[in-house]
Amino acid sequence: MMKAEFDKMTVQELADGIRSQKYKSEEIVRFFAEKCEKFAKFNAIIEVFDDVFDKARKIDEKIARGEKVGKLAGVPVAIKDNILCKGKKMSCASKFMKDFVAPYSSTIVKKLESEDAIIFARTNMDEFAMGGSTENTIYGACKNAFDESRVAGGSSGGSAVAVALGLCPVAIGTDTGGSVRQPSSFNGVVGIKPTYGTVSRYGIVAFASSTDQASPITKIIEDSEFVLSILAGKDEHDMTTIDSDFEMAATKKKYTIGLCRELTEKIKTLPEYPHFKAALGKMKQEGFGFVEVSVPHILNSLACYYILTPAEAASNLARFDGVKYTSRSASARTLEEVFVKSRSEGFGKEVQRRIMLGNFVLSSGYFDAYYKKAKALQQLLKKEFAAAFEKCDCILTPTTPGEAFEIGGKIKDPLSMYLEDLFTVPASISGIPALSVPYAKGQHGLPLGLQFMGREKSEKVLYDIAKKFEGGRYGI
Amino acid sequence: MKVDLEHLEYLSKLKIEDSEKEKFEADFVKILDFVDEITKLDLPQEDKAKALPLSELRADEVQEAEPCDTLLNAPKKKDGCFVTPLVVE
Repeated sequence: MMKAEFDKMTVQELADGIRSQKYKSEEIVRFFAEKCEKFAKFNAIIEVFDDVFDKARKIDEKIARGEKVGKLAGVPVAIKDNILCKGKKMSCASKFMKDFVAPYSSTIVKKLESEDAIIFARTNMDEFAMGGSTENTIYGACKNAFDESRVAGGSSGGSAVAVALGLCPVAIGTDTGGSVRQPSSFNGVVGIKPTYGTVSRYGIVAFASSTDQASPITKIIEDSEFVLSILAGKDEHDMTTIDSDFEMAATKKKYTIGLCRELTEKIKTLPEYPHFKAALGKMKQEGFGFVEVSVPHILNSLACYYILTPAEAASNLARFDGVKYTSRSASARTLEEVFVKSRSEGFGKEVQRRIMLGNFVLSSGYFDAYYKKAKALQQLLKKEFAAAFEKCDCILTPTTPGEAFEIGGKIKDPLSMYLEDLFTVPASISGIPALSVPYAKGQHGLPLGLQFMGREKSEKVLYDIAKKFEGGRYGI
Repeated sequence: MKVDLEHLEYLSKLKIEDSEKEKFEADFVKILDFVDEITKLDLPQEDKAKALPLSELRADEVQEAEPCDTLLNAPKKKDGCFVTPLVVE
């Protein structure tokens, strides 16, 4: 019998195949583990957990006994290296946390395990989720699935590349300002940043608490929807979680797509504009309605984001002190030295920069001018988006300004890296959902993503629109 | 814009290597110049009441906490305590 091509199958096909005993979870897990080894040079996977075969066998036995199993029974799921899974290492791709072992499991790991998924591996990322290329990591820069000389995107670069290369059927990433959507776009896979509060942040290392959201990266839209519905839901350990209503069907036959007036000029100057224009043309032919909408301050989102999130990061990362759960500087003699030396040796450059930026905008004399102003802008943006969504079902943009850039290309100039987030941060600071799906290949033959932003809790609508686009032929 | 790097290091409990200070400061100023656009915007005041939309608070009941080894990752520990250098004479 020909060996099944598990890496060509969707999450739901694998789950159905295991449940119906057509395949064994153990052979699927072994297939992906071997493939991870073969593709090690991409630096997408940090480690495949050592208990995965035992766990897979147990699921197979449970199914053989005719016991009821969960929706993801036996399906391997990779998690980003900032998500806690009890007893497993988790390092945030940082020297500071290299030997950290999770003392408890995050809510999302518990949810996945309660559906009998196999927590399969941890994926590479930018240190503490700060960066847009997965170059800020102690495990070596993660390489783009389509061109090894180019970046994976980030910060969830390892998760996106792992799915694109078929090293696992689904990987969980986290998105604070585009960290799921941008690498998904760069690697031709599907990524979503759900409405803020949809997925519990309990047991995920905090970067910017008011915009952090975890979500699945998958090959197809249906799998994204399927896994997100498992991750979503209120959690007593995270008081910002909300009731999600994903089961609500998207009922509209004809959708209206909004094009944001303030972004039009920017988009027209992008090298990949012809592809974007062609996609709009196709959507018009397919019967989508179009309307121009205005989000007057959308171009200020980036500045707002790079004030608010470093401020939160500076506070969140204050707890990493060389005493409780990080490494400690060998040369520290006083308590003050334990703090300063451990942090200076442990945190990478980008993380240190964000902590200092955060403390700058929060410090006396600058707080009102920067932080307070950014908070006021955040509220205004939420209102502006809400007004725009009175006229349309979603706002369409490219996910990124272009294709994946070259490794080493932007890492020395932090501001140029920040500008990559232009289209992804507005949804982050406004708390609204945004879905990125692959739609074309750019001038270097690399994938491009289309981003659909919608009103709060409109994930179903976004999925439905993306599926209708090109009659479902959204793949590249 | 001028940055008081020493003060920021103090607030951040970080020390930038002398050899990296110049590049760090130049990058830092470039970023601040970029985000500075926000200071020029004429915006309505932030409504503090709406700043954090929280879901309903859970009932204030004592619950069993999941057992968790707090000291599991401590770089130095003794007799169930974190060990630090002496802070009082």
